[in-house]
This record gives sequence, C-alpha cells and structure tokens, in this order.
Amino acid sequence: MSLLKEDVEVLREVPIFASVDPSKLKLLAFASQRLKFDGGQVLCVEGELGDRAFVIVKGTADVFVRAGDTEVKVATVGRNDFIGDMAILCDRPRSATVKAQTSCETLVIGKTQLMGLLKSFPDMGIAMMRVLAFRLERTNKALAQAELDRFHAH
Amino acid sequence: MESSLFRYVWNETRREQIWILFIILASMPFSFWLLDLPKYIVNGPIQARGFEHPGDTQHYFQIRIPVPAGVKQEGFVELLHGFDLDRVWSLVMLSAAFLALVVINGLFKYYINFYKGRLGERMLGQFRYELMDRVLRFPMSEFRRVKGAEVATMIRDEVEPLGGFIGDAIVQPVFLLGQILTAIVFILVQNPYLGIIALVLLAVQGVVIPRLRRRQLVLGRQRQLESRALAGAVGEIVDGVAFIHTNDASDYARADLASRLVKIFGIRFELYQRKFFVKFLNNLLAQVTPFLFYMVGGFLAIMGTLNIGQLVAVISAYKDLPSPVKDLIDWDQQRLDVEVKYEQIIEQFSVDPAVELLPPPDHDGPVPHIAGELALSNVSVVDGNGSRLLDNVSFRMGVGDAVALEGGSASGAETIVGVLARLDVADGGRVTLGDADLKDLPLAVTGRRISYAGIDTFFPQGTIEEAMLFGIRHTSLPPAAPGRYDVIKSRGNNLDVHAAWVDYAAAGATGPDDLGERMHDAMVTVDLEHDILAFGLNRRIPDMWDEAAERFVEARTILREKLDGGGMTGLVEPFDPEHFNSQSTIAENLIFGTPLDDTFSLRQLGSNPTVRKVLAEHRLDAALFAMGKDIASTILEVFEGLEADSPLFEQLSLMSPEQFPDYQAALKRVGSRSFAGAASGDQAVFLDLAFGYIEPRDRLGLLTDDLELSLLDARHAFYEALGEDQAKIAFYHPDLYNEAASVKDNVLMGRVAFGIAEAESRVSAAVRATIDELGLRPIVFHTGLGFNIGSGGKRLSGAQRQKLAMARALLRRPDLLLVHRGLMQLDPGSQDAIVGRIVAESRGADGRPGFGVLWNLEGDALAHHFDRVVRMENGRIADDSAARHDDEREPMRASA
Repeated sequence: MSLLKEDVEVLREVPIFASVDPSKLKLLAFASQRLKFDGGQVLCVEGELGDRAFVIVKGTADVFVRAGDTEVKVATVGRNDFIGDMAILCDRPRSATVKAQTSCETLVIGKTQLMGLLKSFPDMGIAMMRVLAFRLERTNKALAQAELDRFHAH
Repeated sequence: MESSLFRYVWNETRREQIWILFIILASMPFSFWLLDLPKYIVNGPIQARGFEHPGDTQHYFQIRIPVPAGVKQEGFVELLHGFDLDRVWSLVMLSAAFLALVVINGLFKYYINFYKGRLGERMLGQFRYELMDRVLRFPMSEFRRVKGAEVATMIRDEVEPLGGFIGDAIVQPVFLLGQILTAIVFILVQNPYLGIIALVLLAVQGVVIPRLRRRQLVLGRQRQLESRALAGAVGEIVDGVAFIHTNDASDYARADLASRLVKIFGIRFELYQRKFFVKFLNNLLAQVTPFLFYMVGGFLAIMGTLNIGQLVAVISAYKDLPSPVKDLIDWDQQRLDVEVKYEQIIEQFSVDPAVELLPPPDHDGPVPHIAGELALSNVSVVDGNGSRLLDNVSFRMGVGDAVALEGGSASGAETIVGVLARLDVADGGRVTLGDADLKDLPLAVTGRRISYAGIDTFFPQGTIEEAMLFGIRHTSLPPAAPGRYDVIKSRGNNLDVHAAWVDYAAAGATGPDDLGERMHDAMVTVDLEHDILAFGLNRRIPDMWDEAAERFVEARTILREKLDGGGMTGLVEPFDPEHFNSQSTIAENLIFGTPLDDTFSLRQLGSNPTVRKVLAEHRLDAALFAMGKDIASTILEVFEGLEADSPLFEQLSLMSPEQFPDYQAALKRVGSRSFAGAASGDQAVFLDLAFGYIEPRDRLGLLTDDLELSLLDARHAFYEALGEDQAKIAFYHPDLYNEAASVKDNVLMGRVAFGIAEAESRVSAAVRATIDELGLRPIVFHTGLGFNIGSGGKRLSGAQRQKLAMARALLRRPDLLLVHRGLMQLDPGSQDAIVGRIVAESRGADGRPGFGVLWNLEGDALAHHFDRVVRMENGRIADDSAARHDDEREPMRASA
C-alpha cells in the first residue's frame, strides 16, 4: 500500500474528517506532507502562531500546558489524533506545547491547504461543521452534567 | 547646452565638416571626367574620328601650363610631353582610364561615406555622454519630475537619428545646391524663358511644401512626446508590477496602455497621410516642368525662336535637376525632423534657471578628512507642496559625536539627515561643516567622507562584492594612453572604466586580500555573515584548486561523523555509486551527476537517445512509461476540478496545474496502448514525468525494490554507453570534488531526507560546523560574495538589503555616518545588537579610527546607545538631551 493510501486511511479515522467524501481526503493527503519527529522533538510551542496542524500516524506525543513557571503534562496523544486544529481553524495562538514522546510519524496539514480545500468544496466544510457541532453538544452536555453533579454533591 | 542643432554641430565638428567639404570638391573633377570620358571613347577610337587614315595616331598626356608670352616664347611650359597612340591602343588606354576613374570615384565615395558615418557616430556618442553627464549633475530635486524610462528612451532612441544626420548636416545642402545651381544656370543660358519656368516651379516647391510641412512638424513633436510618455508608462508598469497586482489594477494599466497606443496610431496615421500627400505633390511638380518644357519649348521651336539642339540640351539638363532637388527636399525634411527632436531633447535636459546644477567633478588626488563641527543655523526646508519639513532649526554636533534623532515621519528628523547627506536642499539658513558651507564642498569630499544609509537601498546589478565596492570605487587612474577614447571629449575621455578604481586605503586595506577581511568585518557588524555563508554554500566555486578540493572531500567524513554522533544519521542519504538514492529523482539516480550542458538536461532526458537506448536494454522504458502514466492519471483524478491557483497545488512537485491539459491530452492519445505502440513524443512525455519521481516526497508507492535494482544497473550501463559524452556530466564520486556542484552538495555528497522535521536546518548547522572545523569558512564566505543579487538587489530580502547597504556604508570607514531608519526592516532584537555594535565601533577600537554617527532611529528603544538624543516634532527640535545635561552637569562634547 502506498504511503498516500495509508495517509487517506489515517485521515478517515480522524473524527473531524469522518463524514468527508474520500476523494476529498485523498486530495488533502496529496496536499499534505509526511513529517517524522524524533522522541523529544517539539511539534508546536504554546503561544506561537501556527500555520499547520498534525495528524499522528505513528507513535505518541505529550501535550503540555504552561502553569506559571512550570509546564504541566495534560494529555498524551497517539494514532489518529488531530493536533493544532484550533490554531489553523480559528487563527489563535497554540494552546499547548506538544513534544514527541516516542519517535512520531505525522501528517502535516497546512492552514492554506485546508482553507483552500474548504473554499473549493463547501460540502466538506458542512461535513466538518456537523462533527464540530456534535462535539460542542457533547461538551455542553458534559458541562451540564458536571453542574448537576456539583449541585447534587452539595 | 546649445539650443540650436546647427550651432552645436558647427561648434563641435567645424574642422571635420570643412575637411569633408574639401574632399567632396576634390572629388568633383573626377566625377566630371568620368561623365565626360565616354564621349571621347565613342567619338574617338570607336567612331574613328581622328583616325580616318590607317596609321593615324593621337597624342595623349601632354601637360602644358600656359604662361604669358613674355616669359616664354611658345606661351606655355611643357611639364609632360606625352606619347602617341594608334586607334586600338587609344581604345585600350581610354578604357583603362575609364576603369581607373571608376575606381577613384568609388574610393572617394567610400571615404566620404565612411568619414560621414564615423563623424555622425562619434557625435552621437558625445551627445549621449553630454546628456547623461548633465543628468548626473541634476540636483536631487530635479529627479522628482524625471522618469528613468523616459530619459533612457531619449538618450537611446530619440538621439539616434541625429547621428545619421550630423555627417550630412552641412555638406549635403552645399553639395546639392551646387548641383542645382549648375543645372539652372545651364538652362538659363540655353533659353531664358525655359529657365524662368524651371525657376518658378522650383519656387512653388520651395514655398508650398514647407507650408504643408508645418503641420507635419507639430505632429512629429506630438508623436515624440507620446512615444516618450509610452516608454515612461511601460517602465512604470514594470517597476510597479507587484503593486498593480496587489491592487488588481492590471486592467486599468491595460486600458491606459491601449489608449496611448490608439493616440500614437492617430498621430502617425495623420502624419503618413500628410507625408505621402507632400510626396505626391512633389512628384507632380517635378513632372509638370518637363510637360511645360515640351509644351512651351516645342511651341518656341515651332515658332523658330529655339533650335532643336537647345531644346534637347535643356531637357537633358533638366533630367539631372529633379534628383538633387528631391534629395535637398529630403534633407530638409530630415533636418526638420532632427531639429524638432534635438530641441525637445534639449528642453527636457535643461533645468529652471533658478535651479543650480551640481558642480562638475573636478577633484582629483587625495580627499581630506572632515573635522570640526557640523552646524545647521536657522535652516528651513519646504517641500514641493509648501509644507515646512524643517522650521528654522539650529543644530550642532561634533563630527565625531554619536547623536540619535527621534521623531515620526513629519517631525523633521529625516530632513536633518537628508540636508546633511545633501539629499535635501535648505531653503533658508546655513549648513556648515567645519569652516566651509556644505554646498560649496566638492561631492568628492562629502561623498567619500560621509556615509549615508537610508530606508531605501540601491545596488547596481551585480554580485555582493560589487555592491560593497560601489562605495569605494574612487581612485581612477588615468588610462595608459591619453585619448584612449577619442570618441568622447571632456572628462569622459580621461576616465577608464577598466582602471583600478578601488580605493583600498579608504577601507583601511592595502589590497584585494585584506579588503576581503574588511568586508568580512563589516558583514559581521551588521549580522550579514551568515547570509553570505549560506549563499556561498549554495554556489559552486568558480575556480577550485586541489588543496581546497581535498579539504572539502575531507569535510564529507567529518560531516558524516557529526551526523552519526548527533543522532542525525538518517537526515542525509549519501550518494553511493552502488546504491539507489531514494531521496533523489529517478533521473538523478540514472545520470548520477550534474549535467554540464543541455544534452543531458534533467528536464528533457526522456528524449535523449543514449538514455533511451540504455532504458530499452534494461527493459526499463516500458516500466517507467507505465509509471509516468500512472502518476499522470492519479494526479489528474485527484486534482480534478480544482482552480489553478488553489494552495493545494503547493505540495505538488511533479507537474504544475498549467500542464494538466497537456497531460490529459497525452493520456487520451496513448489510451490503452502499450509503450511500443505510443508515439515517440508521448513516450518521452511520460518518461520525463516518471524521471522526476521521488518516493518519500511523492508517496505514490510506485518504486519497487526490483525497479531500484534495475535502475542501478542502468546507471552503470549508462556511464559505459556515454563514451565521449562522459565529459558532459560531472559525476558524483565519494572521493572526488565535483566542480559543477555547489559547496553544500559537495560537503553533503548526498541529499537531505524528505519528511523529517527540521532536517534542512539541522543539516545546515552541521555543514557550517564542519566548514568551520576545517577552516574553510573564508573560502565559503568569498564564494558567497560572488552571489548575484539581481537588479536593485531584488534577490535579497528587505532586511538583507538594508544590512548590505549598512555594511557598504561602514566599509569605507567614513568620518561621519548618517542613517535614516537604515535598519527598519529588521526585527527589534537585531536592530538593537547592530546599533550597539556600530556605536561601539564609532568610538574607535583595535587601531581603527572612530567616526561620528547621526542616526534617525527606528524606535525609541535604541536611544540608550547614544551620547545624545535629539527629539524632533513638527520640524523643530522639541528636546535635546545635551541641552538638559548642560544645565544639570558638565557640558557634553558637542555643545548645542
């Protein structure tokens, strides 16, 4: 199997792209780049402006958030996780630092490429919007549940 | 400048014009004899006049000078007795004389034409030089109204017809008038009536036609102005093309262009109509005269007042008249044309009498250093719109002080620097340097002792080294033989562009060798060294020598150790003759070297017969062809329906969107046909596509191990098959320096791997460390100095250009450095570091002399480097730290 086909498979398993037409994912894979990181290398730094997002194909990476003077590890990400999507969709500085834990293979999606794709194929945007909306609903529900739990705890 | 073309020509070429006139007069007897001789040949030997009896002879070549009978009895002195010839020998002799006259006349014509042409060309060169010399003396303010492209067309094109005319300017009319006069007198002598007819018609021609031409002149002038404006508009479009696109103004530019062209067409069309009408009238008048001659002359002959012989003679004399008259009219037409051009050009190059031209350069020999105090006393500067840039400002500083200016764009800070750099002219007040008024100082002093670096930079087309030398090209040694260019008189004659111009002493150097070190120092000061090294790494070294080549080969091992030691083994895949290099294209793997000419150019390898033969032998042609087709159909399918400017194409390196239709058509043509069945051109198309494929980059999974092995075999077979053509490729060899490849490629002797984070920068750092370890940095630096920066430095980034301009300003060790936001395009951190270094250097260190600095700062944060800070507001000094210090503490070096 060519790397490109593998890339398409990986993209399909990323939730945000789950309902996007495979032919568009193929295009996105074509327009993206494979990038390998050694363990310890930094994918992105909190606070910097980013113009690319990463989909992890192989390996794991740690996510750190600054708290005062120290960095706190908040998560570990692995295969099919999409990192930095908010930075390229909303033009915001990176919200966390991501460091490769093991050697990592990633698929790098440029902001201009993703935006270009969305502009050319609005259907793809609708598919992605639906996923984001579901995610928002889930977060809202979780938040409500948490409030409810807090209320009951008192 | 001379306002009339004729006066200019006469003043400049009087001697030559008289000489050529003399030559023409000297040639006249010969042309007369040439016309006269056939009569003797026909009448004499051929018709046997004078040879009526066999044995008759004629006497030739007797030369006698008549003298008064009192001096000599016979009345003449015989210089040459001559000899007798019979009829046949007479014919031979006369014919030979005819031939000789033909040759003599031809030689005269040759000499006259050649002399006139040379005269014209020389004057053209001289005139162009004078015009440009004048432009060089324009004060800065004049350049607001001058467009570069227009000046260029004036000096290049509009002046051109002048050259052709100057040789003929005086000689031609004299010569033609002579001919006309002879014919007229001849006719008048034959018959006064006919003579008067001829004269009247000539007068009509002479009066009517110039009148008709008056409008032509106006049109000619318009045409010239419009074409010049067109050149200006074209130049502006090209210069501002980036802004035209960023404002989507290209259609407006097209419309403007079209309207100009239509206007020029209109003018030219009317011009043609008039020109050809005048021609028609001319021809008509020329033909009316013979009509009247036949009519009136015939009538007179019938009446018996004129005999037939006279009539025939008159008509034949008139036959010679139209051609000189026509030539004279043509000459006159050309004169008008050229005079209009000349006047218009002169008009453009003259300035308002109130404007002072810069003094002509007259400073030869050593230039004194400047010292003392710079002072502006009550200086005002008003710009073209009447706003006051400087309002009655008085400012003093010692030539050795470090002073900072602060203030926004309308504060006047920029103007103070501009006035001192002589870019702005004070409209009131006095600017002095030491005891002298600044404007009385020769440019040679201010232009060499004061350095200026502004926001905008200028570099002539050339290398970085040439850009640096631009500031110290001052010592012109006189050319070896005086008058080497006798083309251009005046100063241009004494300046030789090939002389040794570089003023090494100005840069504190003694020759080319330590000048390189000085350049290096200046580059380090402005943080440009790394850029230069990067350029050097990407260039090939023009003339490599063995010792250095060995060290570069040695560098490969050291780099490899560094990469392996730093966990970067996989970052570079070395070129190994026995292995397929997966980070290179298939073509590179096959050729395994750098093509030295177009024969094996990687872009058209698919149609190269040697390559095709080798591929066929290894049965690779069909496989690669299929691969190319595969690539094309996959890409076309995936990218179908995407606009050509989509950013999604950025990562696609195998083909550009513009090529899509071509590949589509090729795919259709080939259809399901096999390699053998496809046309040769289509075979090459898909072979070339496959040749550009790199698996890790393009990720289509098309390269199998078997294919790689076959390609490796083909590589060796290709080398053997090349035979004599081996010299056309510089092959990769692990132990040999490849002179056709860049320094970096030579050190890497491999390719940086695709798809590894920060591979390029990490490898570059390792290469730089390796170069340093082996002491090769000066070689790479020197190679980098040879980088061509393009016209105006366009191949450099804005920050690099400003750094380079600053390095150039420092190289010549000025007494005073003037800066107007000269580092504006740099980030604040770099600005701070560079300003700090420059101010430190200005205090003098390491045996280098100090210098003064007046810096209009990029930002307030930089002020702390300076002894004294002057804040400007609205064209006035709002605050001066020196004045405050005066009040508070001991006086500063420079009193304000």
